[in-house]
Amino acid sequence: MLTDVVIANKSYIKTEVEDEAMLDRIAVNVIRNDCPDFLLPMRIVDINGEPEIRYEMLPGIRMEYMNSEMSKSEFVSLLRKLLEPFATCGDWFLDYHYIVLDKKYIIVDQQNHKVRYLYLPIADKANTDEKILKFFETLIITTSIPDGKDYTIELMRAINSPGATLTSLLNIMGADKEPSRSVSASAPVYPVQQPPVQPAPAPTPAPAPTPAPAPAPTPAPAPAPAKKEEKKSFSGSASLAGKDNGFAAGLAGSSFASNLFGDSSEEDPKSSAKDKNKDKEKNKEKKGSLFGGLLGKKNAEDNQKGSATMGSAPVRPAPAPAPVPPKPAFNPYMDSGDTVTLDDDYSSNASPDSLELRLVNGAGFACPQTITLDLSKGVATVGRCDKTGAPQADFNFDMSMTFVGRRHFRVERHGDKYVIIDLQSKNKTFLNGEELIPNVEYPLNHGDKIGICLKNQITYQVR
Amino acid sequence: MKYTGGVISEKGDYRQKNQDRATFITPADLGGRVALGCVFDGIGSFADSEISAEMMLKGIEAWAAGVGNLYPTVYDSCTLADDLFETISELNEAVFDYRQDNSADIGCTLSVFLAVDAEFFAFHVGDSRIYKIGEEMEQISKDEVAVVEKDGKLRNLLANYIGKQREVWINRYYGSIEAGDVFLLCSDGLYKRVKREDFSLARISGKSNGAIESECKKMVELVYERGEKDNVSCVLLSANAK
Repeated sequence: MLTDVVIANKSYIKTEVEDEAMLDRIAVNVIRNDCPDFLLPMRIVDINGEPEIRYEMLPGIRMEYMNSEMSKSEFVSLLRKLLEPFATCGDWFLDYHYIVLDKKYIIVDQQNHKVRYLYLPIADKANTDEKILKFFETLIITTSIPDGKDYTIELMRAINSPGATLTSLLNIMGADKEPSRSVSASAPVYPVQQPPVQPAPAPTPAPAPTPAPAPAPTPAPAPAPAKKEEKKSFSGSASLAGKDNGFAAGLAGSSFASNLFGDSSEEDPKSSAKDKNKDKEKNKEKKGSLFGGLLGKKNAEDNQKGSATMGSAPVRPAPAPAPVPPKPAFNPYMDSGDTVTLDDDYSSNASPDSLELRLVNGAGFACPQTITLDLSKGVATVGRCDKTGAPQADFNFDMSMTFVGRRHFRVERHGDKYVIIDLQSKNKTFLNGEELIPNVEYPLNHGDKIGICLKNQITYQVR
Repeated sequence: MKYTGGVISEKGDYRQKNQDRATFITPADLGGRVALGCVFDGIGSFADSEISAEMMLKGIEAWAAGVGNLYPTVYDSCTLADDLFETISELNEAVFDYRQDNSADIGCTLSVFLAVDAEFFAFHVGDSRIYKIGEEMEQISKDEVAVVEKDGKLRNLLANYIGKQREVWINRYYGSIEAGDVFLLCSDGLYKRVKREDFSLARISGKSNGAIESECKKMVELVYERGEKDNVSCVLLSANAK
């Protein structure tokens, strides 16, 4: 379970490793020594002999706090930045299935949409391909693109079409060159000589040895009810060398590249029937693979080689339980010694779906006397209009109040309780005089004082 | 210190439309203690550059209306300048986003001069210019151009402009102002055709807004007489003793 912790005023995400044998030490070393720029830096800390993975939070906001309405160009930029790590993580020998797909743990730079994921190298925490596709499908559905409704439909069609892959999405966005770049960068690519498709419908457990492969390029396989045909494969014909090439075969992280170009449906014509049976076993695992490819290949081959990287068997775990919203490690105002005087009955006319903030100190600015936050959707953001006058948050200060961020802080309702989260605002948010650490939830109670901007000290009190 | 000034932006006879924008603002409540002059020169090779210049102009005017009167009670001069800097940065983002979202060819230069009592804060992007006119024309801003060879000739290309990138490099200048100083902000259409001798300080320094505006008009007419074909924008600003 991932939890947020604050250590020495710095925000981290941590998780305990229950079984050290399930930990992919190679991935840990790779990330520690050469952390890709799309991952959060990670290190292993031993607590009483038990390893704990700790991720350092970097500037940016959690994806769940981002505005769900964005322009088409913004969405394309974001989606591309989200997809690219899946294409390139093979360059670092990492497996994209271990990227954590939880909006709470995806950090996005608000300026350029640069994305940083958590990589959780624990064997039983891998995502399934279906789950990855589902994540992107949900993202597309839940994002409102006022100037690109047709585009949403186009993406949905692409992602729901038979044989849909993340590459399809990248292609739609005109980024089809990116995956091929990663392939050539990560491993040599060889054309695959596809064996003639065996039309025999009888499900023989041990198929007859296949004839020698024809050197000429094979025609496209005819549609047949064979299991192999069910595999989703990329339209390209290139593939990693597989077993014939030790380097490529050992590239655990090249699975994306390999999957993109679909290698699993093409069998090595030289392999024996026994090998094919083994392959069939593997293919059972891989069936329905997002990229029609190498899910589990890394583990399987590691096991065959006696590698101690990731557990003992190809893992296709049940979907991990939904992460519990992390609780803040400390409540800064509990020990701040700041006493709040309540001037009247603040709860008398309070609606559970709204929260009212009353101005205590306007610092000379023309601030609204009250801010009423509509929490019927569970969340509300406070910010200001941008310099063209377009509102950027649920409650907007005037555009001339530059010190208020366009999306400054956010209030969430959890049952009958409220939390406040600073959205990486430049001039900071304060709760009862204590600076909030960005992206961390703090309990918000009636009578609390919210400060906006250290210099100007505009203060509102929760009613 | 009290500031007066004038502004003009002309299309000229040659160009189809005026892609420049310029403004001179003094917050009325402060009796001219704060003044803001701006010139935005839309890039001629971009079809719709006036959109970017207009976005910048409206944004800066809105900023001045909302914040200008906060000096000196709420903001000191540096805070005011920082706020203006942030505003320019954000407006650049808006122009960049517009350019991306609409696949529009837009972009403009920026010269902004904020005078606050006896200090000035200047912000500059591109190749419009800010001068202090004394015995000589002292150029405060530095042109952001790249010299390239094309067809055997050396040509100046604009190296930086508003809307080029999401994060723009904005040059900042700071200095002090004395009574009697005169400042000029202008687009390249003007400075290519004028010399120091064309400016008469006696007709600018200490004069009213109306008088300085007519001086701006004369300068623009002069450069068109000298054969200028581009849009021309000019802001003159005079620092006067109280």
